[in-house]
Amino acid sequence: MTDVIEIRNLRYTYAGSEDLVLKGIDLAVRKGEIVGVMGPTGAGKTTLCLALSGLAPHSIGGKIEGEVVISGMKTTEHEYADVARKIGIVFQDPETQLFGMEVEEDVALRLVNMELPEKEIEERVKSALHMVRLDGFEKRFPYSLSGGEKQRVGIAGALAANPEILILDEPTSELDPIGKREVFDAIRALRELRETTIVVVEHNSDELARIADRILVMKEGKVVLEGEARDVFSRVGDLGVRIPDVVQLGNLLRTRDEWTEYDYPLTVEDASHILSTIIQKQKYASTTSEIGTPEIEREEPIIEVKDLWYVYGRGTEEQTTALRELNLEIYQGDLMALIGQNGSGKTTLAKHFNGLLKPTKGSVIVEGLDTKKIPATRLAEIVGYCFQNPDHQIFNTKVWDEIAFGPRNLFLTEKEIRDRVSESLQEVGLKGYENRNPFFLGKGERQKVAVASVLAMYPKVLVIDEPSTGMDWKDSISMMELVKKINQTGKTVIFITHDMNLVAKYARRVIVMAEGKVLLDGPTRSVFGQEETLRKAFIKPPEITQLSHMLRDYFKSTVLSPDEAYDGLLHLSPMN
Amino acid sequence: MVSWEELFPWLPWLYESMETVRDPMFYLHTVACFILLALAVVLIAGREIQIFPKPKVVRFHYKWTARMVALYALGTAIGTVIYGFGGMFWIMPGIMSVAFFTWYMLWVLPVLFGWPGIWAAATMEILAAVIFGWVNVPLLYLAFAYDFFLGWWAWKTVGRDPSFRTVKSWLLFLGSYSVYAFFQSFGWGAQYVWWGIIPLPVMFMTRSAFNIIWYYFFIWIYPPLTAVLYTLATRYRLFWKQIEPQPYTRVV
Amino acid sequence: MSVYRLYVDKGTFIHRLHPIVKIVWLFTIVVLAWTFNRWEYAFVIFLWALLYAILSRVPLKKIFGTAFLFVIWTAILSIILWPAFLRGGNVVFEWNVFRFTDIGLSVGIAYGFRIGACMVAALGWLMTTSQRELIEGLADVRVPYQFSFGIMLALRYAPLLLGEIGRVREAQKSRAFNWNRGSVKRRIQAFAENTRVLVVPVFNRMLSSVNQIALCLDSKGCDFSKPPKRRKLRFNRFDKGFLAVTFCVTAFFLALRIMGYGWITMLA
Repeated sequence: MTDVIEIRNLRYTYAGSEDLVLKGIDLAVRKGEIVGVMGPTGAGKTTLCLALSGLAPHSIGGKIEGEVVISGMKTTEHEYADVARKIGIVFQDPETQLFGMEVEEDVALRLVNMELPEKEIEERVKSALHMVRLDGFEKRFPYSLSGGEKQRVGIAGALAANPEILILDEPTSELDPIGKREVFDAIRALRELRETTIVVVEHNSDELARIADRILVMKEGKVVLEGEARDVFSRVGDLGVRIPDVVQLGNLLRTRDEWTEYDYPLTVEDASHILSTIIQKQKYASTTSEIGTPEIEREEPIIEVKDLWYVYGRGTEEQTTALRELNLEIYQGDLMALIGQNGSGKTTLAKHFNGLLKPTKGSVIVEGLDTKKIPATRLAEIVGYCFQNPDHQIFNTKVWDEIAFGPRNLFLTEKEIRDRVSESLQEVGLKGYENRNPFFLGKGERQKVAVASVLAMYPKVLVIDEPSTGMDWKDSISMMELVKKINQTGKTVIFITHDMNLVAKYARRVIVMAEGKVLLDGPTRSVFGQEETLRKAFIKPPEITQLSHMLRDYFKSTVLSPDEAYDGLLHLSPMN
Repeated sequence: MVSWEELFPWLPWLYESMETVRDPMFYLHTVACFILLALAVVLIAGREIQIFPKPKVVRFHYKWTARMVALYALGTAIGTVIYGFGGMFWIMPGIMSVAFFTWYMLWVLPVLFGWPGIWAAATMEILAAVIFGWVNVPLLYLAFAYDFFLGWWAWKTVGRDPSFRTVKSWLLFLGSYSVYAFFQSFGWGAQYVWWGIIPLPVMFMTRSAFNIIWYYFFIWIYPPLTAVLYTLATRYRLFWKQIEPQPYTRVV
Repeated sequence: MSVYRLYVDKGTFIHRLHPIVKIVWLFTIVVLAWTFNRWEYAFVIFLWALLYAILSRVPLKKIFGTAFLFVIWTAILSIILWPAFLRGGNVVFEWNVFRFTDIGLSVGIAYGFRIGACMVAALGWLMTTSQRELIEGLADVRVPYQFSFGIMLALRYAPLLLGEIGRVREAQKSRAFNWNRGSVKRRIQAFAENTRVLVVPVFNRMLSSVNQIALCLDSKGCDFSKPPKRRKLRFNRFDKGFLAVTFCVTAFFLALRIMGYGWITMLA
C-alpha cells in the first residue's frame, strides 16, 4: 500500500516565537489507515495537524523545516489551494467552523470556493450529509444543532470535497458523551464507506483504542511512542495519556502467571470474553472480595430542594420545562457528581443553588434561606459557582486582583482580602503567581485561578461546572485532586461532568438526571450498578464497571477501578 | 403652576448662551460634516491625504486575509449586539441617548484592529439600526461615513500606541479624543436639523451639548479599559501591527 | 425570538422579490417615516409599512410583540418631552412644569408612528429576506465579497456573542458582583471597574474565536481577493412592478410634503 503522508524531520516554529514546537517528526501513513495521535497539552499535536494540512505555514505563517509530502506533493512547494484539495480538516470547537445560515450552505462552502457546478455541489452535499447520518438537515440553522450534530456538519463540510486525507483535531473534546459517540460512529462509518486516510487527535483512549490502526504518542514536540494500540497502551507509562481501564487491568495482571493469557484486550467485550475463558479454564467461582460502601454520617442538609419546577421562556413559543418536581437534599461535606446528557437539567439545577435561576414552582432552601427571596449576589457567599470556561470570569491583568475581586464585592477590609487571597492561592497551588497575567496562563491554570477567586469568598458549597472539559488527562486529574482537597476541608463540592472515569474515581455520591428529573441518587457504586436505569439516561459507566457487569457471575460488587477489578480477580475462589 | 424656568433658574441663561452661538455653530458644523463626509469617501476609495512632509494624496492598498475578515465579522457582531442590548439610555427617543458601550466600541475597534476595526465600526451601527428598527436617513450615510472617518482618525493617532504605558500614548489619546468626541457629538445634530428630525436650532445645540458632556464624562474610562483590551489583542496576535501580511502598503 | 434569525419562508411574491428591491423599499420607508411630523400623516406611513408585512404573511404577533412596547414607550416619552422644548401651539393640558400643547401632542404621537414605521419595515424586511439572499443581493450591487461574507458571519455569530454576554454576567454575579449596589456616587466611582468586569471577558471570548475562525476559513479555501463565481439574481416583472409602485407612492408623499402638508413648523 502506498504512503499518502510522508513527513521527514519536520521542525516548526510559530510566527513571533523563537521556540521550536515540532522538533523533528518522522512519519509515514498508508492509504486508508486510521492513525490516532495522543499526548499531553503542549505536545504539538495541533501543530502537527496544521503542518499536515498545509495551514502551517500557508495560513498561520511561521518557520517550517523538513518535508511534509501529501500524495507526492510537498506542501511548502505548492499553493495552498492545491494542497487543500487533498486534505480536509476538522477542528475542536464546532462553533467556529460553521459559517452558513443553513447546514447545506455550510457544507457547500468548500465546494463553492472550488467553483464546482451547482448540480454537483447539491449532490456532494447530500452525499456528505448522508455519510455523517445527517440526512434531512439541509435547511436547519447551525446554531440550533446539538454539539455532536454541529461537529458532524463540520466533518461533512470537509468530506464534501472528497479529500484523500481527513484530519480531526480533538473533534470530541467539547462534546457530551452522545456527541462523542456520534462523531466516532461517523468516523467508523467513513472507513467502511470509502478508503479515506484519517488522522485523529484525541484524549479519549477508549474510543481511539477501538478505531485506530496505529497510535502515536507525542511529548514536547516529538513522537515518543508509536505502534498498534495494544502495544502503545501497554508501554505508555506516565506520558500524560490515559490508559484504557482494560489495559490498566492488563498491566496489573501481567505479573500473575495464571492471568498471562489476558494479553491486553482493547475493548470491554474482548476483555470480558478473555477473562471468562480464563476463569472457566481455571475453574473459578465468584470472588470472595466484597467492596462495601462506607456509611456517611448525615447532619442537617445544607441545600434542600422541594418540588422544584423550572420553565425556560415561560409564556413564549420556546417554552421548555427543564426541571420537573425535583426533590433533593445535599449535605455538608458531600462530594457529589451531577451527571446526565445535555438537556437533562444538570446545569439548570445547579444554577438554582446560588440563585442565578429562581424556581418557577417549589423552593430551594440554602442554609435556611429561600433562594426566591435572596439575590444571587448574597447567595454567592454561601454557594460558589465555577463556570466551565474560566474566561467568562477573568478580566484583571494580575492573578492577585482577579482573586481579590470576589472578596472586594463583599466589602471586606484590605487585610481580610489579603489573607483570603493568599490562602486561596496556596490552596489551589498557585503560590508565586500573584503578579502573573491570567490571560497568559494555560487553561488548567486559568481554571485554578477561577476556582481560587470563588474559594476566596469562603463559600460552604462549591459547584464546579465541567472541571475537565478540553483538558488532557493529567490536567484533569490535577483539577480533580484539587476538588478532593477542597472537599477534605469540609466544603460540600458538587461537580458536573460527562467524564465517568472521574466520577468513579472521585465522587462519593452521584445524582443522575434525565428530562428534568432525578433518576438515581446514591453512592457511586450503587448508582453505577444500575445498568438499566443508566441506559435510559444514556449514561455509560466506566469501562471497568461495564466489565464487572458483564462478569457479574464472578464479581459480587460493582467495580469502579482497575485496582478493584484486579483485587476481585485475585480473590476468585476455586470451584468446589 | 411651576414653569421650567422657575425650577431651573439658569435655564434662560443657558438658552441665551446657546442662541448666541447656535447659528455660527450650526453652519460651521454643517460645513465640517460635509468635509468629513468627503474625507471618508476619499478613504473608502483607498486614498489618504498626506500632510507631512509634502501635502498630497497617496493611494494605499491592503489585502483582506481570512483573519481580517474574521475580525471584521466579529467586531461587527459584538458592536451590533452591544448596540441593541448594551443599555442605551434614551433621553429623547431617536434624538438623545447615552450609549457608552456603543460609543466605546466605535472607538476601540479601529484603534486595536486597524482597517477591519474601522470597517466594523462603520458597519455595526447601520446593521444594528436596521435590525432593531432605529434607522433614519442621516444615520444611513452619517453612521457609515462618520464612524469610518473618525475610526480612521482614532486608529492613526491612538492606534500607534494604545498601551497607555507611555507619556506619548496618553498625549495621543487626549489630543485625538478631543477631536473625536467633538465631531461625534456635533456633526450629527446638524444633519438631523437638515432632515427635519429635530427642530431648529436650540435642539441642535441641546443635543450636541448633551452628547459632548457625556463623551467627556466617560473619557476617564477609556485608558484603563483600552490598556487591558490591548493586552488581550496582543496576546492573540490580533493587534493591527501583528496581523500578517502587513496590509498597509502605501503606493505613492 | 432571536432577532438575528427572523426569516420565515412563506412563499409569497414579496419573499421572491430581488433582495435589492426589498432594500430599496426599506430605504423609501425610512425616508418617508421622517418626512412628516403630523400624527395623521405619520400614521398613514406606518400603515404603508405595515401593508408590506401583511402582504408577505409574516407573523404580525412577532412584529408587535417586543417592538411595539418600545414604540409605545417612545410615543409617551415624546409626548411628555417635546412640549418642553417647543414654543407655540395651544395648551391642552398642564401639570406642574409639563405643558401639553396641541403641537407637542401631534409631534409626540407622530414620533411614535415614525419609529413604529421604521421598526415594522425593518422587521418585515428581515422576515422576508434570507441572509443568503441578502449576501447575493449585496454582491449584485458590487459590495466587495469580504464585506458581504463578513456581514453574514456577523449575523451568524451575533447570537453566540449575546449568549456569551449572558454567561459573563452570570459568572460575575456568582462572585457577588452587583452593578446596581451602593449609592449613586459609589456606582459612578465604580463604573470604570464595572465596565471592565463585563467588557473584558466578552472581548476575550470574541478574540479567542477570531484566529480559529480564520483558520477554518482558510481550510475551506476562502480567498477574499478572488471571490467565487456565484449565480446572478435576475430582475423580473414583479420586481419592476413593485419598484414602480414604491417609487410612485414615495413620490406622492414627498410631493405632499413639498406642498407643505403633514408638517408643523416647530419653533424651539
